[in-house]
Amino acid sequence: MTKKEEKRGKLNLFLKNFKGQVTIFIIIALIIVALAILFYFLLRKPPVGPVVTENPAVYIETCMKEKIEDTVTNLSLRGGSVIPSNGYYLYQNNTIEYLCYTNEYYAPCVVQQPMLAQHIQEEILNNIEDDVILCFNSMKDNYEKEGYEVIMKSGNTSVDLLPERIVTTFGYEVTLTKSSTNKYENFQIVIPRDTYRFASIASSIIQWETLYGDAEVTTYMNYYHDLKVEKKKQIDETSIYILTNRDTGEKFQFASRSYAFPPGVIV
Amino acid sequence: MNKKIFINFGIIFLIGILSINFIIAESSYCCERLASGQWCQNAPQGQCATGINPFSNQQYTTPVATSCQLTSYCKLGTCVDSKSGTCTANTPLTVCNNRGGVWKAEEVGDLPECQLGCCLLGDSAAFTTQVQCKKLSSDYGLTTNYRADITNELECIASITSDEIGACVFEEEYQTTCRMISQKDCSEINGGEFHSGFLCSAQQLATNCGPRGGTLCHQESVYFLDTCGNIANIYDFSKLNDNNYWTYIQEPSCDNGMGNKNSKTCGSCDYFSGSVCTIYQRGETIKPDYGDYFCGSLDCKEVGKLHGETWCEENSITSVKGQNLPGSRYYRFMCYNGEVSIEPCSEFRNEICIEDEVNDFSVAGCVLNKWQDCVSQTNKTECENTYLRDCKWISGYSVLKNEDGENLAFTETEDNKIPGTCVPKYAPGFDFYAETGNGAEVCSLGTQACVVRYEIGILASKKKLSQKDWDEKMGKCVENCYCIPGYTSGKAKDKYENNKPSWHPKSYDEWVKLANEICTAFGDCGTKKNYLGGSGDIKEIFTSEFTK
Repeated sequence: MTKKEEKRGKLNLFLKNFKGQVTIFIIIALIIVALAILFYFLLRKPPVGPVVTENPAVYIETCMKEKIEDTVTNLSLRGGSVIPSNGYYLYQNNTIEYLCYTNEYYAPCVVQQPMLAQHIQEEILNNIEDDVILCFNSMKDNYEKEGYEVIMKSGNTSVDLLPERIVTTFGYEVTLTKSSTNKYENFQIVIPRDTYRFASIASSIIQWETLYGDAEVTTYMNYYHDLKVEKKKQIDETSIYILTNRDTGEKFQFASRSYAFPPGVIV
Repeated sequence: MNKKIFINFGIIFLIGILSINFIIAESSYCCERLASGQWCQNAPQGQCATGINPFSNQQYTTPVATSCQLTSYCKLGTCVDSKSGTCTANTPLTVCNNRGGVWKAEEVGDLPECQLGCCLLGDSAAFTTQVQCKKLSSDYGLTTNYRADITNELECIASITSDEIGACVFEEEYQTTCRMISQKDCSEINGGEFHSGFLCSAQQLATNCGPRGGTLCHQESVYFLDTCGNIANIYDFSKLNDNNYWTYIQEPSCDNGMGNKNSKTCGSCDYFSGSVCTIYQRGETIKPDYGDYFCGSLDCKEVGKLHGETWCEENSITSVKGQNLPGSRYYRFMCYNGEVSIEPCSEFRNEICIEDEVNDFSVAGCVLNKWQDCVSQTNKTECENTYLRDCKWISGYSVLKNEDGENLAFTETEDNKIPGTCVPKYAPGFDFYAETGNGAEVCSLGTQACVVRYEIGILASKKKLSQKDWDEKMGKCVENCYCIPGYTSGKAKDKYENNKPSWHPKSYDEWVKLANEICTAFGDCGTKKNYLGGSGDIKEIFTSEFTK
């Protein structure tokens, strides 16, 4: 083989190899671009706020659920009120409302919140009513932008504390027309919460506090095996009660001051 | 002169009027609401809320200079909620009306609508009012089943009867299958046949459900499952291949009566014995011989306590525990569900923790420290009456004396009246840094004055005696000589040594020790350390002499 032929051979070999390498590089590049596109779609944040779907109930649930949950969490740590108005004790940065209170010594407490469950329902309702209007109006606007004809009749909102859940019902009527007409009414959001049981136990504890100045926490733990009940006595004889669902971590706290004894007073 | 008297009288009168006004200003008023938000409290008028009641949209009732219980708006009674059927005692009228309740002057027990009965809710029960029962039944989607004849909670719980569960055999998708349900539910299934007492895995039922389908937690115990996912009998490894155990519903025979804690073979758990159905976790728990569940222990192993035990602790360092020192506080510890939680007793040792053992099971509780009337007791029997108070008797000195300095508190023996002092058994704490209470006054009860009498010659000088040192004075002492610094038995005049009462301290040091014991027992008084072992400001006790 002459040198020229040898060189040509090498060149041919080089060219063959070169084409192969280019092919490989192109394939790798395509893979990288595909992966990049995939990551982009996987990692990008979901759109903020409710998404317009066929069913307006889904929209309302997405819009309102977090607000209801936050309201329940907040008031549960504060003795059943979003902003305590019956006097409060500051405990671990929370203003915890007194459900039963006396400012005197040697005296039983006076019940401050006789209908706790009903009060909690009202507190939730009051705290979400502005958002209800906003959500329904926003839903209406969004559907109209999607080309729907929307007829909306507003109604009453109600909150019910039930065993193991809180049911919020919106008495709105929404009629959507595009290619067909669909009517939606009595929108409902159900969130799983133990608030009903907490309110019931808190009321029971308050009855003991007002009659005897104390409540035995182990009684409740023996009856409700998934419940932790704690009582923390404070320096001014206020008792902070903390009810915790051991399985879900949900908490309910409230304060009471009954049959307080002053330090260093002799008879 | 008349003018001067008149002016003086006028000044006195003016001071009197101002004093009266001052007294009135500090009197207690019934505030419909305090400025801080609480309803119906007795407080100085300045603390009462003014403005509009947001519930009634009317002015708050003008505060009245009397107790709230004597007013109409803050009188306590029962608040009845007709919607939920709840009755709340000790509720003021205004608070009840604000919330839309119906206020009644009678007590809860006297109102027919507040009588409690047994509300049966499926396989559970609640001791409630009738209206409450209706609401609860509605909330759970059940028919109201109220038993007014059951008047106590234990009887109510005992009356729970679940619907009998049995094997319900039926055809589904061309197969004979089975579900463990009640007869009532079975009758609602098309073609369902109910077999009382049988499990779905019973061979004679010829269903597609067989034995050994795993285990599951059910009613806090571990149960076998059949291959269709139905609950069978309680997990018993020894019965895994027992045909009879997979045929008939039966009680377990493996129960050891103690909750079968951490048993690999028996799933009969018992919450009150300290066990509950727990999932197996590799490396962390024991592995059951079959399935993934076992009776996990609820005991607090780290502290060596059983589930449900409660015990007492104190925040003092070990070396000074039990001495009720300034800053110390009692705590009740509880072991529940494998977790230790802490309940502090009242601050200032207004509550103490007492502990006992029942069948090796520790039980504790925070109880009131009844020390307030200790010092006024005049004899040992009344002092140590544990039903009425928490006090102890210290013999040898009485803090209670009459105007003439005579002792008022004694222990009576056959031939002697030995003075003593009734002091708190658990020294209370005082809020001395915030200057509330009477801590300083209580401590001052422990200050002792001792009258020592000397006998000198007719021509001897009192002044010279007062200038002598203690040892020389001791030799002249005829009464209460133990109060002289450095005194020990035999050093005083024979007249004293031969006639002194047997209860007199044998030395000055003994007297100081007695005095300190009484003083420190009253509370955060005298020479003592704090709960961290730190010393107080008073480093030593000294005696001052006042001669007359």
